[in-house]
Amino acid sequence: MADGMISLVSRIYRDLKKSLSATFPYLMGSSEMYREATEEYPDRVSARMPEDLPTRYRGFLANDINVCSGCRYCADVCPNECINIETEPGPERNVSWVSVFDVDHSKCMFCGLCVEVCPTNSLTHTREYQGSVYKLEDLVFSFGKDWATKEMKEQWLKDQAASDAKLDELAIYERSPLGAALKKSKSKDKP
Amino acid sequence: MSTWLSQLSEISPFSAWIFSFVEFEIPLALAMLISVAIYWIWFFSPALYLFEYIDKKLSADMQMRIGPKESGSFGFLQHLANRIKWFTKEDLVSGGLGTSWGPVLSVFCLFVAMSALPTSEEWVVSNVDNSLLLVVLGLFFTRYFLYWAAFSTKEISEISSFRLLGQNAYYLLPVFLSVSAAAIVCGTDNLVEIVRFQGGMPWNWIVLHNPGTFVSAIGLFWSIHLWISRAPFDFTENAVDREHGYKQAYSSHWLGVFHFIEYGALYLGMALIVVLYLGAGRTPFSLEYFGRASSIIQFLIFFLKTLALTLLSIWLRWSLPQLKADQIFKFSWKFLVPLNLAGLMMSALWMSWHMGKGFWWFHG
Repeated sequence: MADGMISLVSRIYRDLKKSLSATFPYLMGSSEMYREATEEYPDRVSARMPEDLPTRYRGFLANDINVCSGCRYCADVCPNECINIETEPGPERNVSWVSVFDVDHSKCMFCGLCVEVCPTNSLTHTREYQGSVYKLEDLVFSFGKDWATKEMKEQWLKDQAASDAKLDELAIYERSPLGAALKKSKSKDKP
Repeated sequence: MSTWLSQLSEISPFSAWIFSFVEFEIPLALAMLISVAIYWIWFFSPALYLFEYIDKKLSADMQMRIGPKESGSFGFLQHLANRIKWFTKEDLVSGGLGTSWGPVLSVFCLFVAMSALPTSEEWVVSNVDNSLLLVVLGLFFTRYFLYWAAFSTKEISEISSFRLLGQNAYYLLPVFLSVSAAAIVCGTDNLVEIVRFQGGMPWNWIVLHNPGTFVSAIGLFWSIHLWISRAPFDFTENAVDREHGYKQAYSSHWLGVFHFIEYGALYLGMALIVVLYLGAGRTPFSLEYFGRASSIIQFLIFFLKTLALTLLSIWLRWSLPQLKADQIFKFSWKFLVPLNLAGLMMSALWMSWHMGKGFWWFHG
């Protein structure tokens, strides 16, 4: 029984030594293998993270509003109805003024359908993914041209109406046989 | 020294030390209450707090992670944040069961053990003649009343209460055997006398008095780990279905209570080893120059030694695999009991053979 006990003691001592020497380097070591493996997000993140993203990574949406035609394809195809679009007549003829283009990223599931159907390729995915905000409303990204005032829009409408009237005049008086006759009669009436 | 102060110092030297700074007299019981509060708030609680912080950071270091770093400049206030969290959470009580007296009594017994343990020559809150027995029994009942805690919630944790009771089968004997060796060497049960018996240098500690006490000190270290159910011996809490064992049905401040019980018991266990075997607070040079502040220096030395032991305990926790129940029993009965018994017998034989003197280096 005594030698069984001695072998038990020596076994315990050996196992203890093995276990403690296994953890001791982690206690004392500061080399790469024994240092902490955690990344302190967001303070000290390893720089290789943006390169790790896949090539066609679907991040947050960005819209080039000067190219956007306001066709509403993206809003119609979105499964979660994230995109809110409002358009108005703009300064140029037949070109929409996209005054409201809100993408609610809190609803977005980053499926990429809106980017696929965009006919002008103005809507694209960025490679941004860090969306921690304090208020949920901060996740609504607005790309619309909301800097047009009411006076500007009224001015545009007036300009449009004026150019329409001019074109109408051009169309009637200059380009049809009846118009030529009307023009002659109008000028005959004028003193 | 006035008679009131000498009366106070007979029953509680720590109260006498506190009240030697003031001039008025108050009833003895009130003085002792105040001194217990001061002892707890100013000395024991910060020690536990620091032990907590070092535990978290050291464990993180060994596990290749960082540990608390946000609250406080380097995570120093994390434990305080935990305490605030414990008190501000909702106390869920299932099935109409009320407060359980188990944890409350456990804390009370822990306080009893804390007050009987001397942290320096003058600082013991209650100087009874057999304070060693009081400390050991206080720690025992701390662990014992947790059985009540688990039993009263009548859920799956009831099983762990029976496991807790079953633990009594393997930790009692090693503990009592290993503390007896130090008592035999000093010839007294009084912990203050045991502290005074030792000197300042390591060769004047009881652990190096004779080979028996050396063996017993190691045995006491392992017995306390068995006692507190600390890893690698925490089979009452580690399985998935046991789910923290007796702590399962408790929430909010009870978690703080259980946390305090576990860590406080570990700290007190290590403090017991330091007092019994490692020369708690004694210095090789005389501290008369400092007057009353000598106790503070002794307390600091004692705290550093206890901290070293708790660091060793933390290191062991993350190094050793958890033992199964039968392995724990084997470890206790086939290794610890023979070891402590051998230590005790060697101490006794040495004492009778050498007429009470230690090794040639022990001057006492």
